[in-house]
Amino acid sequence: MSAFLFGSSAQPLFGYHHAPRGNGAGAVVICSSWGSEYTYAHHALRVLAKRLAEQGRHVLRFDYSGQGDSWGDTTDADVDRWITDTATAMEELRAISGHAVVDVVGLRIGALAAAACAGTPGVGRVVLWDPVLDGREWMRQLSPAFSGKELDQRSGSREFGNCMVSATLLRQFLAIGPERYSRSGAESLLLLQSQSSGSTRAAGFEAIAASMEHRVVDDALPWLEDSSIWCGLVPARSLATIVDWLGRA
Amino acid sequence: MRESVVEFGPTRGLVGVLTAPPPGTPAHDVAVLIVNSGIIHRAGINRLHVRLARMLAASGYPCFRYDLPGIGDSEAAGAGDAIEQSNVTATMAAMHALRASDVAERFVIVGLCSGANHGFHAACTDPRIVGGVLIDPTVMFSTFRHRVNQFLRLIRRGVRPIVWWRLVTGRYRVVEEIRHGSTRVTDPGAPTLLDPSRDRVAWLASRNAFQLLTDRNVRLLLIITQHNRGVYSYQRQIFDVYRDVGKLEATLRVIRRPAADHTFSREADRRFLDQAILGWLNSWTSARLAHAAPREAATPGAA
Repeated sequence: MSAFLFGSSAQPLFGYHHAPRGNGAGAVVICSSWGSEYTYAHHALRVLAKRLAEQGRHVLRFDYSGQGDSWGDTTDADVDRWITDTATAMEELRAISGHAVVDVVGLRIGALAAAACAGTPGVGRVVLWDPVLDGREWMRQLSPAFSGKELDQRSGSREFGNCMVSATLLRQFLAIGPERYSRSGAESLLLLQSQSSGSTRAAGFEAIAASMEHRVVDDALPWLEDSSIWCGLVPARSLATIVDWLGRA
Repeated sequence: MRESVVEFGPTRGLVGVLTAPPPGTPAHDVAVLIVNSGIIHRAGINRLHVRLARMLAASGYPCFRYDLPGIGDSEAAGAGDAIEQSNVTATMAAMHALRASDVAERFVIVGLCSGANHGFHAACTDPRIVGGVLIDPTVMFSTFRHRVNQFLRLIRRGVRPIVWWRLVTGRYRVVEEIRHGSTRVTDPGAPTLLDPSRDRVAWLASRNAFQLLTDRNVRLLLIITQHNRGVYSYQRQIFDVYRDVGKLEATLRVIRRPAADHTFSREADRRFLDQAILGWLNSWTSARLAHAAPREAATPGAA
């Protein structure tokens, strides 16, 4: 099956494996973003996965805990757990593909999960696609009415980003800054940033990998809703950049 | 609650997730199909479909959320297939797969926006569908009372102090508004209001469709949010549109939730939606033998 549940039977994650054309030149895990960004970018990431598979790679897309078709309510969403989920997805793809080393592509907050796995055994090249660098600013993008008062509640879940979330998640989001991308040891890194995202800085990322390439692309932002289709657009240039970079030996 | 991923259809290119009631839960005699809205994948906008499926399954209704061809993780249909027909074929394949694995033989289909349109069309096509939840369908017919309501609404908006302030200060250019109003690009997501007289063919087709469904005793729940207030302004509007459809009032229930937006962004509205659908289902479906162990979905797949 291409679509399947993996990980713990009590807390399964949803995954979709794209089988490679040919013998399988490598393996890539794709880490999505959260909330509306996850929803709107879903199609673009599927297109990316298909193109990487056509290039000869095993590709695994998956849903984090508390998101999509994976276990858990939205109140179970937790950034630290997502990092563990990403590691689980990588382990799953190693088992499926037979490749000991897996590359990873992370979009938006998915880039944080990808960066957290960088340098760990079995993780190869890393693509950080428009990583979230300022948690507070990102939260305002997700929920313009966000003021921080949502954290004043002593306990229980609260509304954010059109769903119920825990205070823990909000605090984790608020704490996101460039220092979250400081883990080193990746084989090589592509930092891909969209011109219109408002964030095209590269400083600080060099420490993640032995070699880094920084590309700024003028392209659509797939995690935003385009009013003509009520979903995210497929950013052709961004996808081509990623596919081309991973395609290099 | 137990979930399993199902690949189904002639080439197993369609993907869905089956949510089964927990062991020991009295299962109902219908399964709920939840279909895509627009091109959003099966989890639904704001994870609405996942939430709804898990809630209904916990109450004894097996639920199947799936992607129509070309949406989410489902492969596209053949190049020569009309979209509407391929969507109906996919829904039929979903029902076949669930029936083959003993999940249910009768189905209720739930859809928001374009999903509501598809649900209605599928219900007209396949007798296995015994109920439908239509949330903010994209087309509605006008009535005299609706036109009066819209006129009064325009008047109420017009007398607001802010409107006069803008007029006086020149921020509201009336002439330009009138000149450009007819050429303004309309919101592609806005529902369409038709007139039974001017759009006679469409009205007759829909009227016949409703008669077909009422003759088959198909239950319908129509849910209207603020998104559709421009095309549906009072509770009985649909009954006035289809006055001569026999038994419509016995089979169709209308719920208006003006506070809710189209995607149920607020938790209070999502809870309302959950309870509205569950309450409606409970009002006319029946539970199977109490505590009968639900059967495992054994490799539901090719149609």
